Amino acid sequence: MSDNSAVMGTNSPIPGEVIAPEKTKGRAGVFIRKFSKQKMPLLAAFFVILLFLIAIFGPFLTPYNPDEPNYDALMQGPSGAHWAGTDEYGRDILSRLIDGTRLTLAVSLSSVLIAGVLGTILGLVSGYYGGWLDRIIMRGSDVLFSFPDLLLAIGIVAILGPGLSNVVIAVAVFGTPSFARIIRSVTLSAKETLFVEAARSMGAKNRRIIWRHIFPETVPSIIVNLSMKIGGAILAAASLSFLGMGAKPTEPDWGAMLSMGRDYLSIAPHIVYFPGLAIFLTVLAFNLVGDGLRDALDPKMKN
Amino acid sequence: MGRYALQRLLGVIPLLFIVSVLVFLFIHLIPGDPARLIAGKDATLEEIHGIQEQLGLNLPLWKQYINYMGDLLSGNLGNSIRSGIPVTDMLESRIMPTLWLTFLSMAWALVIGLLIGVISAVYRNKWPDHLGTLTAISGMSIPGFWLGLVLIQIFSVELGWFPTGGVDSWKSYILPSITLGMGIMSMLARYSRSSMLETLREDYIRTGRAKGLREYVVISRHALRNSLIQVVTVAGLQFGFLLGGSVMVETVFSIPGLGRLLVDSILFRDYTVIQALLLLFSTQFILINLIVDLLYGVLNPKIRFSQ
Amino acid sequence: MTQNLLEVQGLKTEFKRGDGSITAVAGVDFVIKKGEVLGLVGESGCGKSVTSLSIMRLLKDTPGRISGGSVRFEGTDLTKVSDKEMRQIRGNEMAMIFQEPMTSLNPVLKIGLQLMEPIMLHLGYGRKKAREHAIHMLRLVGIPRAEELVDEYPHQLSGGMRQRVMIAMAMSCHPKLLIADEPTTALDVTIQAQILDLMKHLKEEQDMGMLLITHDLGVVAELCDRVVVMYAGRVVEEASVHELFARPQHPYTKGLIQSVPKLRQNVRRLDSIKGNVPDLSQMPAGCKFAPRCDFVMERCLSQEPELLPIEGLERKSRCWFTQQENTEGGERL
Repeated sequence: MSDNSAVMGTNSPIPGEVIAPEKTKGRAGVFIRKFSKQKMPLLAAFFVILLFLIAIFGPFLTPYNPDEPNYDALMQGPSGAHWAGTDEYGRDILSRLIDGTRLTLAVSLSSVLIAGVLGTILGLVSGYYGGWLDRIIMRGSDVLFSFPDLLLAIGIVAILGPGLSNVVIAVAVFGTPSFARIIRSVTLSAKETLFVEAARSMGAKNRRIIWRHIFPETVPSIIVNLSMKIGGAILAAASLSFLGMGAKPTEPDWGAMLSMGRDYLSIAPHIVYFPGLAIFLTVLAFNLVGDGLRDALDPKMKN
Repeated sequence: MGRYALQRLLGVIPLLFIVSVLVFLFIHLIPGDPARLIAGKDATLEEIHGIQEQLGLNLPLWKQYINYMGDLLSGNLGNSIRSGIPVTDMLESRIMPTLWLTFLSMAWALVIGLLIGVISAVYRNKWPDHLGTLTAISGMSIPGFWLGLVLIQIFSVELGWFPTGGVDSWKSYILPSITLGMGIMSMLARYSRSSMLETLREDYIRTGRAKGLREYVVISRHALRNSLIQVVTVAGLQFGFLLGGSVMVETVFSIPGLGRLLVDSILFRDYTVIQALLLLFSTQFILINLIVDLLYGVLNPKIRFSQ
Repeated sequence: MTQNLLEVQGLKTEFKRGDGSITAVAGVDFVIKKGEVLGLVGESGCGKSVTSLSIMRLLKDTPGRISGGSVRFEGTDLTKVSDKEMRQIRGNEMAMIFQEPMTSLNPVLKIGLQLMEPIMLHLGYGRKKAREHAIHMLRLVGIPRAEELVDEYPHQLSGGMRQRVMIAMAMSCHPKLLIADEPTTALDVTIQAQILDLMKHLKEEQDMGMLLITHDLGVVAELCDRVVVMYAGRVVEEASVHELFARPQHPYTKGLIQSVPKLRQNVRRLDSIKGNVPDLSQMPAGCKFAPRCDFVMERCLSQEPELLPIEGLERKSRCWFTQQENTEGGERL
């Protein structure tokens, strides 16, 4: 690939214009071939797509109104009428799980995306400009790293108060430093490559170099890291909800459902089993997809 | 080695300083007047002033920090807003269960994780590897609080083998340790697999084979020893993860430890206790990382003998 | 028959790559007599290192495997023996030293222990005796303060010293055959000479056979009795050292010899031979050297020549041109 770009660079008047699309095109082909060779990640990817479909079409799929109590059917085990049973208010658990998919994905994706955008910008700036800016950003992320993830999130929620939007902020904050570090190291190596040198000698502006030449290089790492972080974000958000610091008990949040069901563990364990299984399978699917993406896109990150 | 140790020690000082400042600022970062929060909703203005006076909240920030650090160094972390008990006493009574829990979790996670990782690497791309990899990724994906509840349901409620909570005997620690260690075990399994794979590609492994050593000896004496250094380092760095997880596990299993204390304090807005716990957890985390760094130096002859 | 220490016949080693496989060693034949030093020469990627690893059966952890031929060591076919029997031969009757002295020793184990391993394993010595033997071996390879060195770690030694340790390790069980894969390539020129002297000296003292793998014809001239030249996984020429340098037959060998002055300065590129070694997955149909050969004929492009003895001489060549020349008139040699 590097041979390719060198050759193309010399032929075209503005190297980046031609290289970037060509490279991504070639990469995409290789990526699709490599990714679809892996059985588990492929299966997981289908599951993730299914989850998104459920999230979008949720209201049309629920067999019951997820919020409507039914005092004639309290804490019933799984049956033909209620596949996943009913909860302590007689609400259909399957319907609540379907309804909660949207919430789960929204919370985890938004927090990871915020972390991704912030971390990428910080990493690019830190790696490209170096100097005191780099030192400040990296020291800052060191400090954030010196708090354990979940404790940091708990601390942030303790300051901001409970609620899902604060959970998003908390999860985003602890996700940012690792993005910044990874993107910084990719930026550093991309900076040294030939075509950036060429672009610079032709008098391109820094911002343009970052955006057109370095950013495309970091895209695989960003995608891989995004996908690997989603699972953790879902877990963290669910954990906070479980601790009563996230979603309100009335919301159809998987973590909150589990937390409520805890009190009935000995008489109606299905209230705990199904939401937990939903979290587990979702996180597993995202982690498998993340692994598959990493192996297909960025073999260097393997270790 | 001496220089290496000194470097590490000096590197920790600014980190500790920043953490102490952040934790100190914590109480000021909470929206609203801390004195009002501490006094409660029904407090009179006089009472609030009294608290401001008492806590020195009317002083300039830097003076407050110095007072705070002075108190801290003399072992005074203030009193609980909720109960009025000195925070240090609360921490003291809560620390042992958490220590036991994290220690036991780390111990089994390290042993099993390493075992899975090594087997996976040695049988690369064969069925033990696939099984190990799947176990690891499942262990990483399982929500700890759910695993805990499922274990309680099966082994305590149904089978009655273990208590559902508390810290009455060693039996009480089994299920919580399994729950807390699962994530770390998975991570260590993955890490030791990749570390072993890397080590097995080293030239000295080929040298070992060329000597006619048995594969078992090549792996245990030559490969494992090199990987072990890295795996132990990573394990140490994951202690923070355990501290975070202990919050969850202690809640699920009703263990009167520090994590449970944190959750309760947050729910009751007992800010002095939260502040003390955040400080304790992060210093603990930093110190563990320091110890791991030093340990790494001891294990690695390249560092041990460098002047 | 009994005179031959090692007989390699039709050795073929394949590497899995993607869905297919590529042949790194494609039917190599050669013989090492007792006490003889055979040089295996060729550019990087010609399959000489893979040949040596195949002989030692050290292809584990590579995607490679032996797919044909035999390797007879004192009459026993090493491709057929069990792993256990192979382990008893490795490091004992047949030892190997590698190109990279810096990474070939385990960084976290003391040098002494690493030396003692094969001694205790193969000679059955106890710890104390093995340690003494290790110290003795270190002295033998010219390492000063051997007693202290056994308790030190590899990173405290220079590259040349580490290679001496590797040699001491390989020699410690008095092997009948020593395989040395580019033993001096990674070293400074002055150190190279010292190591070569040492190997020459030890070889004479211990009366062992040696397979010396190198791209450096200078090393060959210094140490070897006979030479096998490899190209693209095949033997293209075999001759005694004197014959080879005096009258190279194969055009590739000629090119190699012409580039000797450069090789002495450790330059790997053979500028006097145009073109590059062909990719193993895209081999030309006929003679593999044809695309780079100055004497290429039509026949060379379609039909691969065989490695045939040259009449009246103790040597072989794989070339249509030389074979034709020799049948037409041997005197033109």
